[in-house]
Amino acid sequence: MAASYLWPHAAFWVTVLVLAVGFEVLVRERVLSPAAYAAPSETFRRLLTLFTQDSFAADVWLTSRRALLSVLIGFPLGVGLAIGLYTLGRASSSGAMALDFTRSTPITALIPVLIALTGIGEMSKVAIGALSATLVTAITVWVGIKHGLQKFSLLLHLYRPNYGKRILLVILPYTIPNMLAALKLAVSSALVLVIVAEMFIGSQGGIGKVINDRTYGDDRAAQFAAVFAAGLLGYILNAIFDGVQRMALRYFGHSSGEAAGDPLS
Amino acid sequence: MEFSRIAQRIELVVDASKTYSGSSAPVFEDLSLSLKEGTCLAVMGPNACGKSTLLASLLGLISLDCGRVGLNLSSRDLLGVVVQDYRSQILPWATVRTNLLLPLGGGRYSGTRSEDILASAVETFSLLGYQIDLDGPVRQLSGGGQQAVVLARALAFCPQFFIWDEPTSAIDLSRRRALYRILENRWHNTGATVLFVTHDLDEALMLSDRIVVFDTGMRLLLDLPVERPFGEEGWEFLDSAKAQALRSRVRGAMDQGRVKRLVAHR
Repeated sequence: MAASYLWPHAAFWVTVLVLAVGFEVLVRERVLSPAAYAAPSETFRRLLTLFTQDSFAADVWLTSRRALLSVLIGFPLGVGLAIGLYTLGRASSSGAMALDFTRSTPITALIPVLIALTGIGEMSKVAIGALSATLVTAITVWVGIKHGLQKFSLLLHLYRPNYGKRILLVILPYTIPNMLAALKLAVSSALVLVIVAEMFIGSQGGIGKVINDRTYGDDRAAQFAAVFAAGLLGYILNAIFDGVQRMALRYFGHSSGEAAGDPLS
Repeated sequence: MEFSRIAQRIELVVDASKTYSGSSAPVFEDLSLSLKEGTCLAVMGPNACGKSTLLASLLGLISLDCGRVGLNLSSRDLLGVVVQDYRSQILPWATVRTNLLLPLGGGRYSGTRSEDILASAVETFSLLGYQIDLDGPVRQLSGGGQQAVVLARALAFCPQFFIWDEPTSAIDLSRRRALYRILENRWHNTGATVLFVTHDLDEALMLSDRIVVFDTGMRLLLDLPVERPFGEEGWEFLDSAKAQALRSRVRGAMDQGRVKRLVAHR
């Protein structure tokens, strides 16, 4: 049992190590240009100095705060939007089409519109992240609502509970797995969009700004270190919300594989 | 599709056809079936012969290709529906109490008090031998317990029309006896109209006034009245020579259908 548990983990870390060593050799031997790439050892050293000497922790905190604030705004809006779609009745399919269309439009393409609406300050970064969180939440929860309506169509047809009971007793409890999956997806997508917004809009700080500044400042190791830090932050946030999802599913009595609509599960 | 409802009385008349899209064979064609008020009709037939489709069309869940269903079902009558997949009729995360009282609200079913519904359900649970905590979540109950919640709710609202599709599939044999006693009492003494689908011939003999046996495509093989001596207990009737004769006729019809299907396959 121990071997079957350890082997996949060991294989993963050995692969990572081999790739890192390979990359290191390629950069050091100048097969890959050091002007474009930083060696892993140098990236790791620069990551430490970024935190110890360049107040990078404040940038990481700023990006995390913006991403979490985006989710705090976008997640309830997305849930509300999905429930609002349900209340449209027969017109909900048209609403779902409009939502799907908006979701299909890359949020980055909407950045100029959002700058026009919110300016280039702090609010624009949060607005971009919140929009992304809203859309991903609305779509994921809507999928759950549609599935629930199908599953409980007979119950709703026979007992005709009133609207309040439909939402509170049928739709919301049924879509809990979808909501939790949506929360996780919202965090990931908000983080990505916030970092992009920090890169392109007159920003005072954040991981995106560090990546941008170091790219144009030809500090390749710091650029790679900041990108690595962004990935690490995404991974940590995802792991935290994954834990929240598991705990909540257990609490509400759903099985962990029940996160219907979660494209990642 | 012509759809008419016969006002003011419960009388079922089905004269319809149904083919699912993507399928060349009709589920049923020119099906003709009638059911008089205050009687209990047992519908039997092999799996996938169209029984559940018939019930779904009676409930208005699917549309017919042509024909009509004349059935005057009030919203209270819909509460008397129990389907084979009882899980589609309960909210597993909600408490037993919430599930039992789900149809109430918004001033509907005036005169129906939640206390009466709960009292009736508790009585049904007790007669069936279940110890069910009204404030416990339904998901913690066994399959039989969950089906008992659906049955108890259907009985508690006192509808005058019952449509039951294999309502005892999750209930063990010893509790079924108690259930049959409850149903006999309720159905026969209150003059309810019942249409129920079953694979259990003894269940059909005990509870129904008439048994219809269908073959694939809902072709009628047998329409058999069950005339039980008045006041005779269902279990006593099962041992009688008359029940034996009825059993032979139903089995004969089913065998005949099976042979026809085998010949058609070859």
